[in-house]
Amino acid sequence: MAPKTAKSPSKARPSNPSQTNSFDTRTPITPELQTPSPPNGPSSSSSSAAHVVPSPGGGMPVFFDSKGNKLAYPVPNGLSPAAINNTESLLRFVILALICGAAIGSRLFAVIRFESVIHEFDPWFNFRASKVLVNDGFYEFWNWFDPTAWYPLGRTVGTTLYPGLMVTSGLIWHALRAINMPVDIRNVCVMLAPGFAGLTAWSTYLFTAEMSTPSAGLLAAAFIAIAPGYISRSVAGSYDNEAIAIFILMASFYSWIKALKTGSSLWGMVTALFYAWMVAAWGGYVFITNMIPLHAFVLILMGRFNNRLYTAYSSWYAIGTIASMQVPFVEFLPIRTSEHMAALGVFGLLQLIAFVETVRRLVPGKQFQLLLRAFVVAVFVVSFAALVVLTFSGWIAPFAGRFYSLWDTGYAKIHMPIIASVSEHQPTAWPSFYFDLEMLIFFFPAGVYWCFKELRDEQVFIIIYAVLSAYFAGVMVRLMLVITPVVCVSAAIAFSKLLEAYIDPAIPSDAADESAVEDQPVSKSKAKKMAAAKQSQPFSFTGLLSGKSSSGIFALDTRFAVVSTLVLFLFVFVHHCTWVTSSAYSSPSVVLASRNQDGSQNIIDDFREAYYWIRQNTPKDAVVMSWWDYGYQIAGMADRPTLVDNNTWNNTHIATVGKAMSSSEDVAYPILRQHDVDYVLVIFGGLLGYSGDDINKFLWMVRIAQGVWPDEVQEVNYFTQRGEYAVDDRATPTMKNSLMYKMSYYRFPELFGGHPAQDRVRGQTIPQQPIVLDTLDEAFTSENWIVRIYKVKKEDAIGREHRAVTAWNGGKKLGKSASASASVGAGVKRGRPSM
Amino acid sequence: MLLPTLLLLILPLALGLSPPPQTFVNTAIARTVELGGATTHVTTQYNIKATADGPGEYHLALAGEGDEEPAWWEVAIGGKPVEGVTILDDAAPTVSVPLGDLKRDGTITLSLTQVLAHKSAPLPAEIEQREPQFLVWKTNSTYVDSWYPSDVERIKIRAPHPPLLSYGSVPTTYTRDSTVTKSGASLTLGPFHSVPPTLGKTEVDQPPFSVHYEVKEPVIGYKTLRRSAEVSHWGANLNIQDEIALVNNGAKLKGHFSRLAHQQSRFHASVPAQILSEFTLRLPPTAHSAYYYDTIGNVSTSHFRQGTTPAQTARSSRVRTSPRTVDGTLELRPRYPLLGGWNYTFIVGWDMPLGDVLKSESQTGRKILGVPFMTPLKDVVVEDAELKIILPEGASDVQIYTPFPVDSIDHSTHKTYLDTTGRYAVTIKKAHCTENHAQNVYVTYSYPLSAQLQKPTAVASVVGSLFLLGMGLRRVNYSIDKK
Repeated sequence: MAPKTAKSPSKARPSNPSQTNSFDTRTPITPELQTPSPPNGPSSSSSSAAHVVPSPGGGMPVFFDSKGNKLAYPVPNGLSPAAINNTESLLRFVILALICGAAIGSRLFAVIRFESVIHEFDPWFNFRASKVLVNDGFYEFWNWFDPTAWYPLGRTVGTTLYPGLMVTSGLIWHALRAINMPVDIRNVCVMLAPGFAGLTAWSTYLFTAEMSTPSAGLLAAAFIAIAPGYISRSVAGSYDNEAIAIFILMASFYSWIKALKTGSSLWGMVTALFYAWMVAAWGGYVFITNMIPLHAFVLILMGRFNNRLYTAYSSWYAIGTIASMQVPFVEFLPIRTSEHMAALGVFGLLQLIAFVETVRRLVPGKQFQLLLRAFVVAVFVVSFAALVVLTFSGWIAPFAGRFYSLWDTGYAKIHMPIIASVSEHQPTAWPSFYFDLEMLIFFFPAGVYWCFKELRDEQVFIIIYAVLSAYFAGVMVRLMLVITPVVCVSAAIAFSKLLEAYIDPAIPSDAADESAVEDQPVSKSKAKKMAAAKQSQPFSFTGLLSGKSSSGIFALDTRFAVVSTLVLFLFVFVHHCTWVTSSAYSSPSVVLASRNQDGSQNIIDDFREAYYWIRQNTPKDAVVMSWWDYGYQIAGMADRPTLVDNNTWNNTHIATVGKAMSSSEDVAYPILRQHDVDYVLVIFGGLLGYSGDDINKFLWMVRIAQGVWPDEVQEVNYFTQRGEYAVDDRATPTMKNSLMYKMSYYRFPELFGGHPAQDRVRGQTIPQQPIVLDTLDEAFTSENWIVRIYKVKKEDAIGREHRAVTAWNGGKKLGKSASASASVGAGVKRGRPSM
Repeated sequence: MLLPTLLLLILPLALGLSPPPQTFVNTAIARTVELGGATTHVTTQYNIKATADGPGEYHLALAGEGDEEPAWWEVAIGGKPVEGVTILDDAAPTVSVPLGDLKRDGTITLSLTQVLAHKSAPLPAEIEQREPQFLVWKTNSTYVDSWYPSDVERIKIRAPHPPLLSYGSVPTTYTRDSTVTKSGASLTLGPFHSVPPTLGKTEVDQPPFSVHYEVKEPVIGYKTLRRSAEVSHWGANLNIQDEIALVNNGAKLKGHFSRLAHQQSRFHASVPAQILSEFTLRLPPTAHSAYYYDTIGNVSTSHFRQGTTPAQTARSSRVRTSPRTVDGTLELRPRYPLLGGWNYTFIVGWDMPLGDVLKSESQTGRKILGVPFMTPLKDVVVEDAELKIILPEGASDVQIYTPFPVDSIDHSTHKTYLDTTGRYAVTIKKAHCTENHAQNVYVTYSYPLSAQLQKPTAVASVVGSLFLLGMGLRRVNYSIDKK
């Protein structure tokens, strides 16, 4: 630290030894920096004793500390520095503990409102994998081949997932059992995200305290604890990789900064271990893989290469890379893909520079140095060229498609409809920045500005992080998660700078002093402050607001105005965060809730009703076909084989399901039979007005199917002549004959007993003409018709076409009773040749 | 017909069994059979006359030859259960009942209550969603099985609802006029006169008999019931948790379930007989904190009404309510309506104050705990019931008293929240239970104060040693570079 401070004396804090900040012992103030100027920096003079001198005019009392400095308000005197130090660390501990409590508490809305349940889609897979881990053991999990997913292909799960999350919760589960605390693995999984959110607050505190002051750290911890941008991915039950990834991200950044500051290889190793954990837990580890090299590279360019950087980076890279290669899903990626090349390049560069530095120290002689520099540049160029050649020769894989979609937001839409069809992969809308971060987004640039002002090594890190993540957050909604920590950190720095400036009770002695100060070279900001103080003098307030006893900006009224505004900001922020968390991010989406007319809550539990029915009343090996969104849920809750699921690795298989859903029964039936499908499951929200149903997703099924079979499935056929997406009378024949349309609206109009059948999602009237299903039987429909399950008929025993069978059965019934239902009549009209 | 009869005749001889001495005569037997879904309730009154002084014990047949022992039975004289009834190892399930000292021609009235499981089967075995549900009840013995001759026998069979589709016929060997009389939902068989013993060396031809009747309630059964009862002395709490595998044993669903038809039938207020959409468990009056969930989470469709006891009512309410005990009720709705053949597995549980079920013996300080073996549910047969009583850590000298014979009692150790030595657990298993088995199992154990303090001591010492360890570690300098 000390050399750094010496490097930039202009921005060093002018402070007296008596006012040495008791908690700021990390930054020893060198004697030559002492100036007689009054303190206006962030240091507090709380340690100094104060005494009151009533002003002769009988106006406001004036306070002095033991050194005779003027104070704006009294502070307790006679406290020993040790006592203050202890009190501060106790307070910090208590505040941090409360912040962790708030972080956990604000994520429990879903548990309190609904129950301890796993949310959404991907978490169900993670939960299932965790169950395999704790029930069958680690090696079974590592070698897990799941024959029930992607039927009939199966999935080698062990090598196609990031095991960090499951291993983490498995370890917690085992640890609790070891002390005879048997907790259901489901509860461990549900509470994992809130628990790690508490840890994130703690690691953010440590990280920010390294950047600025511990008080800024506390603010940052409070911000990250309740910032909706992070809560959106870490509410209780949201058992996904991101739940632990943000903690590991902040912890590895903290230990990197620590390693960089101390130059200790121990901290470098800690960074590497956190990095390895991150690699095991989340695909977003690439962010760290590029963030740290970039930071190192920028430091080198700034001419700040030193042995601490060399030690920290080398120990991180060597251990981290080897550790990351132990993850089966990653294996040799760190040396074979472009995403990891920056880290390798910077590692090489550091070795060269270290070599050059060593030689330079030993060999004086300018020509030799020049030679060495040329050597460094040459090696760099050659290795870069080698990299390019290797890339083009195919030995090093170029960037993956998902990364291209980060550079070109239109890329996915054209080349990867499956990725584009996921709503969280869309570019971020402007309002969502404010929605997710509220006032932090305004303080964020201010904090970055403060980092520029001081520009210590670690603050460079914040700047790089801010720039990179701001870009990524703009590209993809999902990556709002990555920007949230840095926004919290830098907003906290700005906020605490402001608060410190306005709460610090010290007042510069007098106008006389002021002029003396003016003579000195002062930094720009200080000059501005002086100017502001001067300008405020012509305004002469009276009464309580009169600033006569103290001077202008240092008066209590100004302090009060600014501090109360900031506090108001904080209150509004907390309110906003709570509201957003409660209203937007705490719905499990497995269970829906609606309000009855009397205001009581009505739980809509159709998904679990249907899944549990499948689980209990169908054969164990019955294959269920549905759109891929529900694959993980079916596997997790219904425990049945599925054709496709949320691990969208096989586009053709998904397109096959899309084709079956979007084609007529004649085309779909052979597909269903070839894939041994026993049940087809569709989500239908028309009765209840649940808009996330399959008819609304239908166009994506069509598009994905069209991508593979452009001749057989065409998107245009599903639109009316006027280009509308209609399900009522205007619907095209292709639409009406599609399996999806038929399954969604089968017998739906009958529910209305002759009245127009209103689809509440699309606001259209479904035609009364009954839908006939020849190859499927309705097997189960949930209470609110959200989940509809159809059983695929086997081939007819005497080899007839299914349509003929339907017609035959219909005809027979018609002959027997005149009051045959309408659906039977339609079957007759269609299939029976003569009567 | 001849061959089985021959076999039946030979069987007791083959087993080396002989009929009891013919020292009794049944002067009159009146039997009432109440048909239900899964269970059949049979009440039989025997008017017995001794034919000799000191006739010995009366051999009472519980069922015919080759039949299973009833799921539940009780022998009573004058409304009081008889003590000292022993089961005999016989071809027909038989018990010997001590009748005390009887003189020649002395009479006594014996009553036998039986609950038979699974005597009725759905016919037709598959019905459509909205069709009525019929069961057929079959018995192998039309006459009341007895080791002694009977003077008069009358059998009444009652179905739950009037229309009886069909019933069997009875040979006129022992009757004068009509053998079967039907009135409404009831059938009267007999009276039969001078029936010789139907068991042992007999010439009586026991004809089978059947009744085909309608049930309007779903026929439900528990495939398994796993109850665990956990005692906590610190919390003064008894937690009872049932894991139940429910199955609709009625006629199987033909075709598929139509939600539309189901909703329409609810609209017309006529839920078809085979559909189970709701049922109610009666819990002890002081039960509280009930819960209901299954493998994939909480089931939100349930209601719990807490019961009251006279003491509670007197204490709490200003409103005058009747000062009587009201059971708590737990209304459970499965996630989906259960049609014929469908399964549903779930877990319910509740807490109750320990003071209601635990007494302390004043002299020895031994604890006496009463745990209900199961929660009664009308007309339900439990195929496999298991009760696991988990006593607090440190309980010793455990003795079990079951109100009825059980299949097995196992002792084991159960480790849960912060246990060090583990808790004493008793597992009691029994197959074929009915609502009559919902009786208390009593456990006595001693539980000294030291056992009570075991857990706080263990936790405190671990936490304390962690603190000490932390203190020690903080005072060690790890730096290689000693300065």
